[in-house]
Amino acid sequence: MRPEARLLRVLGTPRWGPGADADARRLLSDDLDWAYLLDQALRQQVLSLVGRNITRYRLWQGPHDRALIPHAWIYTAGYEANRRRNDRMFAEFARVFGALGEAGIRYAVRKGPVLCALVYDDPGIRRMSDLDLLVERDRYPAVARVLTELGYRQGVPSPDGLTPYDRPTKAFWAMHLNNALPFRKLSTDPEVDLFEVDLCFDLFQRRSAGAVDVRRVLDRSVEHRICGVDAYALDPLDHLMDLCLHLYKEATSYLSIERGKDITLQRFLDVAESLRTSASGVVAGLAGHATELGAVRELYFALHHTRTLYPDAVPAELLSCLAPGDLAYLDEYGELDGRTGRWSEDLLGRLFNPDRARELAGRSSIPMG
Amino acid sequence: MVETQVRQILAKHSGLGPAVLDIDATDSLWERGMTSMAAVRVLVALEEGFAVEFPDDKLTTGVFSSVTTIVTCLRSLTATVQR
Repeated sequence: MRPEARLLRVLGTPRWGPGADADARRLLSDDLDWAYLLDQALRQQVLSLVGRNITRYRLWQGPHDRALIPHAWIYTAGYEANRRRNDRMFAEFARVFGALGEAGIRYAVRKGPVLCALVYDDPGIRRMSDLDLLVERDRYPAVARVLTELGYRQGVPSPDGLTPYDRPTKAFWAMHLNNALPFRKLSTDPEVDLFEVDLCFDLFQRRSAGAVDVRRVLDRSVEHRICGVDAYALDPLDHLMDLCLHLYKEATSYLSIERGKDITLQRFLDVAESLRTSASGVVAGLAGHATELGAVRELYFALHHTRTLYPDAVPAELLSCLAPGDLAYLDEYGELDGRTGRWSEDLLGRLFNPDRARELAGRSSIPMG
Repeated sequence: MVETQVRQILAKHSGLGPAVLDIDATDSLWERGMTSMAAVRVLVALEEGFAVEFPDDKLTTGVFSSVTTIVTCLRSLTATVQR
């Protein structure tokens, strides 16, 4: 692994144990490609976390007034900007929760806002891009009306605003995916240019072997303080499963790989930190829950790769009891697209390789226009 | 008449070729190899050919699973249009 990648793994960790400060300073003394490191911090979606840690541990400051990090202000500014941006997004998402509640529509918040509220010790360190909600499919028309009244439209961002999706795209998503096309609202706020709400009707993809009763998932959702208001999140077991299912889907889908969004440190960190902050009973119940849902392969994929990066976060005994017989799929992609391929490198080898998509044997068939 | 036109559209757009002109009306198009994208091309061609728009609740793999299911859906849509 390149020295920049080793440093990023240390700097991109929210909780530092004894010795981490010394590890970081030792890695900072290497001859580093700072342009590569900055690019990777952005690609891995950990820039704001890196910035917070540089400030918290005064890492820019070397002995004898020597600067350890050139232009350290970029990273700290990234943290400050993300904190402001998240505050704006929390305010907007709180409006969405309120409107759904008034309309009597059940929902569960997934991922970003929940992680900021319940998992990370500082909501400014976690980059968010949108609001992900689980809703019942037959309530979709009502949800769409609520979002439309709040100023959201389904369309592709363009220089002129939002261009409505074409008919083939709408039809494909309706027929073949468990997600609605994104709802977007342009913003004049300098911190956020676009608000996005993504609706999903299932935690699984259509081609997945697993299944879940969304009504039961919503029945067991839990009220928490999210984005500064009372809102509903997935219960802890469903939250962990959702993160792992999402990680598997993104890591293996043609569309995500083409966009360079397939594997990021942030996504593995989300799993690691969620495990760390979960009650022991929740972690202990994870294997049984995955078995019940038919999601053991996806869960093992996510936990195996998370443990590669964050060994202390994933109990070894949990992995060993989940391990499927055939592990060849751990370095494959495309299963959910119906076209499986195999990577030439393992996860660590390709995580910091920005050109890994060139290896794909084909293109995504999901239309986005 | 509707079924004939549906079969012609399937022959042109489903990826299954002229063989679809003679398959049983209840045969699964998916099992015969129609892909996700091909089904979308079929949908667009049906909407243009019959001057209808499939509502969201009809955009399902079930509706596009066979000649029969497509014809049944189209008849309900065109009857709605005529009313």
